[in-house]
Amino acid sequence: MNKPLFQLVEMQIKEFFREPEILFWSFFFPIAIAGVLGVAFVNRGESVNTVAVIATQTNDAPIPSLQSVLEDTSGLRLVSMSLEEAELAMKRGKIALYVAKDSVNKGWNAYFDPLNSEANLAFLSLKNSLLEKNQTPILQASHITTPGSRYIDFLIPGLLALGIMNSCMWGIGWALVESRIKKLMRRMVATPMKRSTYLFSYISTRTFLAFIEALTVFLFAYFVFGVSIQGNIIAVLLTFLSGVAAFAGIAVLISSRAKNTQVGNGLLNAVVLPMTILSGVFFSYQNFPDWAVSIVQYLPLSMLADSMRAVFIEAATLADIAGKLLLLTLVGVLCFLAGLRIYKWY
Amino acid sequence: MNHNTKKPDEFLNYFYRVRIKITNQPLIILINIQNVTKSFKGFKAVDDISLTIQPGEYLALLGPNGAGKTTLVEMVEGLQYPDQGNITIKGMNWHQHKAPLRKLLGISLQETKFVDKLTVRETLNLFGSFYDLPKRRSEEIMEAVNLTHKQKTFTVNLSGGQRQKLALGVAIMNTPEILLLDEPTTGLDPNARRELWDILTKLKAQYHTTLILTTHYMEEAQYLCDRIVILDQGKILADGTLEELLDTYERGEIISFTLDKELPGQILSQIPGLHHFINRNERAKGELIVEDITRALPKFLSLVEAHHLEMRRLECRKKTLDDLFVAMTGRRLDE
Repeated sequence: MNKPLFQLVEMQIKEFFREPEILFWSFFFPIAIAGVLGVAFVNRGESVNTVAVIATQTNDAPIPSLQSVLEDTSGLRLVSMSLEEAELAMKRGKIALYVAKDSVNKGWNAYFDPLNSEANLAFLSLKNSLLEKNQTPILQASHITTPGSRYIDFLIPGLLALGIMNSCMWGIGWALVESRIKKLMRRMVATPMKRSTYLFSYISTRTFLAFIEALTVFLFAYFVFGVSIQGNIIAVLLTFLSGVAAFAGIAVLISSRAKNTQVGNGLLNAVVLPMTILSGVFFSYQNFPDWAVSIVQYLPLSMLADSMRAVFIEAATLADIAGKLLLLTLVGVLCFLAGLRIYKWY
Repeated sequence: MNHNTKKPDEFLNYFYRVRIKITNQPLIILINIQNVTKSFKGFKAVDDISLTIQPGEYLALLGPNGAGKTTLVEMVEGLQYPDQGNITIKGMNWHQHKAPLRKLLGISLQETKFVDKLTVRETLNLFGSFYDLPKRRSEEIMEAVNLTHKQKTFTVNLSGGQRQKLALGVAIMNTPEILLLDEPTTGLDPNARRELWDILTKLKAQYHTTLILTTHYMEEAQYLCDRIVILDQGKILADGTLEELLDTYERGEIISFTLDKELPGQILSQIPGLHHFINRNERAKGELIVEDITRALPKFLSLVEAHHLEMRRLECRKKTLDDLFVAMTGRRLDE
């Protein structure tokens, strides 16, 4: 059989299997990702939504009464909180919904953002359980639309963090790998130009571009959704800079050896993809198992998104987030130095 | 800054060059390559090579693909390090004197892709900044390499020849003392190649640059360089001027012919200055290696006529480096 079609297919399959690095990134990496995510988040059975129940001043102990009704309702976990605690937890995405006693008609009111699908789901399953038990009066929905507590308020700071990560990882990491592949890097560092200047130029450019990108997203959210910054603008800027420092450093490390497209791409995705999924940009990681939360909260993107969110919607001060910002900067500096040590310039 | 140190240096170089011309005794070694070896995965790309280069020399590293030319040049450029041996340039080495050496060299790599969406002028400005040169230098360079009319063209849209001229322009921006060009005309059409040669010849007349050029084109080495080093399989096969190289193996010029019938044996003994005869086909076809074509050819032709033979094809030429290479390795340069 020597038909062109067969020969062409054979050529491409051989090409594919003769490049071990491509094999790694196209087979092993997806399996690894699937494995890690699967073991971590699929085996835990059904997803559990935490619902806060507001304790009232009167002694009519809301928890036992609701708890007794809902004890066999899987997928919901009831936690007692004060109203302030519940509002903060909601801003942080730890809960999507809280329930408080309605003083007028002696039923329950569920407070949530109707645009948050997770909250809608929790509401429906709560309402369903109560209906099954013939509990009356049934649950009323109270929609939260005050800026600061909506899903969009949760989402925008996370998106800003995600933007900073992507901008740095691709804008610095990928650009450096490409410049090495094209042998342009080699040509440039053969001149008296300092290598630190070369790397620093990429980081400076990215700081500027990432700022423009973030500003665009923020202005859009500000004018269209009324998202505003509750905290200090200086704190936002410092959060932004720590984020750039962290991801610029990681990008330099990631780009330090890769000399072809597949490896560069694979390495970048290996960093970017898990964090995009896990770091609580689109939904809170607080519903992951506790052991996972304890790891995920220290991923650079989690730290950046959490700090950004804290300043945006909780009016956190610089002192509140200083620890995370320092940690982010430290990650960046260490990765940068490590990358520099093993950097492949030629 | 370098003004004070450069002046006496230039004077010295000039002085030495004059001395070299008078005494023919090299007094200064610009580049000293000593017993350099470099292997890649067990394959010896450069195998114990020693070479000294004097200021102002135009030197060609000539050899087929894979001879080790690029590896050798890149070790001089500091882009690769030898496994064994030393390379010093003006007494400096790449371990201790990176910064001054980079200022000294102008290089053009075998393949450089510039930033696609940067124009010729912008590319030159960029590299000029690396050498702390004013933007006006870019104009001079574009003029020197005939690219002024392309100054606003993106590098991605340049032809192969134009791209090589840009690479050469970038290499000479800092008026380097040593210019290293790795296969500057490979893959170019004859016109583009000739244009590049003209630019290099002009450079030679203008500055006292030292040039090291790698090529597998014999004509390029012959046209541009005073000294030719032939490399094959990581070793130096021959080193000298064109004349010296051709003399080392066997002198002579070649008369190549095809006749309608076999050449009678007694004719050969009557040809003046015959070194030997290479018989290709029952003596109807062959090559005469002679001392001097101008003496041998008339006699040969008259003998052919006297024996009533008919000449089907006749070609006379001087021996070339290719003949030398074939004689030494059994292969051709462009194989």
